[in-house]
Formats: sequence, structure tokens, C-alpha cells
Amino acid sequence: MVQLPVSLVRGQDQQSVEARLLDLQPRHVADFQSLWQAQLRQFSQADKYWDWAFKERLTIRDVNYEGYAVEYEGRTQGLMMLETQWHSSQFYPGQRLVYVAALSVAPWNRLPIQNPPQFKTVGSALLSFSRLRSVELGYGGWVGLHALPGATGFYERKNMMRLDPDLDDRIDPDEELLTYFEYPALNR
Amino acid sequence: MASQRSDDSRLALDLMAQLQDPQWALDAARIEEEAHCDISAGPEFGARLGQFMADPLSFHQFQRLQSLVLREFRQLLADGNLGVGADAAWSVGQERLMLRLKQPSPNVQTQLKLVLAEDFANTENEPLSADAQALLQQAVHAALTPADWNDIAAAAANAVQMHVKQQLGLPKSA
Repeated sequence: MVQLPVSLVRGQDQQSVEARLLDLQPRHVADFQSLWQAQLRQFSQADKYWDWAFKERLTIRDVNYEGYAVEYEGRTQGLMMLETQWHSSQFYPGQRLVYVAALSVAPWNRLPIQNPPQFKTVGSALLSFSRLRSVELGYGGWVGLHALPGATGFYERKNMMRLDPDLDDRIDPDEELLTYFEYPALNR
Repeated sequence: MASQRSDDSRLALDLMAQLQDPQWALDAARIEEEAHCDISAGPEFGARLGQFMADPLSFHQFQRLQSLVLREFRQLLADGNLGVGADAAWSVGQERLMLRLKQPSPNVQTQLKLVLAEDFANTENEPLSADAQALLQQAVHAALTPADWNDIAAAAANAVQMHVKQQLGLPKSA
């Protein structure tokens, strides 16, 4: 059972507040549906139709999927699902990694929607936690993810290795072409 | 091994401490401000969602198999030193391989299952063994029919021919 204090920055006054990072629970999914989704639709966010209820079921059903949420004052501030066994590096074949299958922050924490956002660093904290899980699983900090089209700038600034999608590599015509980012091992 | 575990424990503790560190949060906030964009990540499965929901493990295994096979085919073309013909060969070969993987022969199935089993059993972060690599290469060779290989070679040859004509300023129909 994960329950980790994480530091967020309040957008209004730049003061740090202590939130909690927890295992994904039904109340977080309920927050997504009741508090997030209308705004995500209103601002045409790419993740507006994500099915976190399905993701939560997946984390219960399959041990290789893990779900996490950042919560502050009873409200869900960010959500993440990790896949821990089936993915490996796109740069170093054979190198196992933690794959961020989904990462999303509340609409009121998104700069393009609300400036200043209510809380900054929700996504950064979740990303950092994915590296922590990678270390705990013996993968040394390797983490991979596909950034949504509007999010590549953030992962570039986090100094992740970038792999642009190659039209020739598309296996399925329905497959989304997203830019892939990867963190290598942390220095031991 | 014990030393690596100890290093990992230290790293994990460092990361946990970092997450609670207000100074780290301020630095992270600055990066987010500079990026000034969304930070969402993760592909949805689109039309393949049904397959994924029905059996996530098989879905991922098939994705992984496709990735291994395509990487091997690309390596095969690189080793063949096809020059300007490589892209055309890749384009035709990739399409045929995906088609053949839908109904591989029993022999190719056996080879691919062995490769996949080794790949999934590998928890030591190592590349495929030489044996598995050789098996994968055989499977790629065998999965494609002689007609497929002819088409791949023809596509490469056409691309080279077009390139030469273009470089020498020859008419395309010559």
C-alpha cells in the first residue's frame, strides 16, 4: 500500500504544500469522472475520453499494471498507470523499464487551461515516482512513455531521450503516432 | 549483487526524499512553467481497444513479437547494405511480414514462441541470446515466401534504378 508525501507548489503564491501519492482507488476515478471530465471536454484535451475506470480495473486484475493518484485535501490532483513487466528500452534492446501507460493531471493544474494553475509539479511528482518504481523493481531508473501531442515540450525539458515516430514503423493504421521519450538509468 | 541492491536502496531513498523536498518542487515548477504545456502521456488503443481488453497479455506479446521481428528484418536489410534501395525494401518487407505473422506456418510459430518465451523470461536486462537471435533470423527468413523476397528485391532494385536515372539525368522510361 503506497502512501507517500509529495511536495507540490501552489500556483497562486508559490508556497509548497504537502500532498499524498497513493494507490489508485475508486474515489480517484470518481473524481476524474465528476470533476475533471467536463473541463477536459470543454478545453478539448487529448485525454478527455480516457477511461480511468477501465485502467483501475486493469490494475486490480493484472499485477504488472499499477495505478497511482496524487491527492490533496481530498481531491484528486493527478493520475498515473504504470506497466512494469512487458516493456523494454527503445534505445537499448533487452533493457527492461517501467512504462508510463497513462499520466494525467487535473484540468485546474494545467497551465494551458488555468494560469496560474492551482498546483504545479503534480505531473513532475508522478514522473519522478515512476523512476522510483523503476529503481525498486531493479530497472535502475529506466522509464519510457509516449507523450501526447501537446506535451512533448515538457518531456524534452526533463532531458528524456526522444524518439520521433516513424511512419514506416506503423504496424496498424489505427495506431496513434506519438513521440516516445525515455529516461536512462540513474547513476548508482 | 548485494552492492547493487544497496545502491538501489539508496537511490530509492534519495528519490523519496526528493519528492518531499520543497526546493525540488520549486525547480520542477520552473521546468513546467518554461515548458508551458500539457504533460499528459500514454497512448490510447483506438480501434485495438477491444483486443487489448479481451486479453492484455496476448496483446502485448503480439506487439512485442512484431517489434522483435521488424527489428530483425531491419537489421537484415542493414547487413545487406542495400543503399538507396533499403527504404523500398523495408516498406514492402514490413507489410509482407505483418501479413505473414497473422498466419505463420507451424514451424515459424514454434520458432517465434521460443524467441518470445526467452524475451519474456529475461529478467536480467540482457539482449536475446545468440541462439534466440539466430532463431529469430531463421523465422524472419522462413515467414516470408519466395515471392515476398522477390518483391522485396524488386522494390530495392527499382529504387536503385530510379536513383541512378535521376542522378544521371536519364529519362525515367529509358
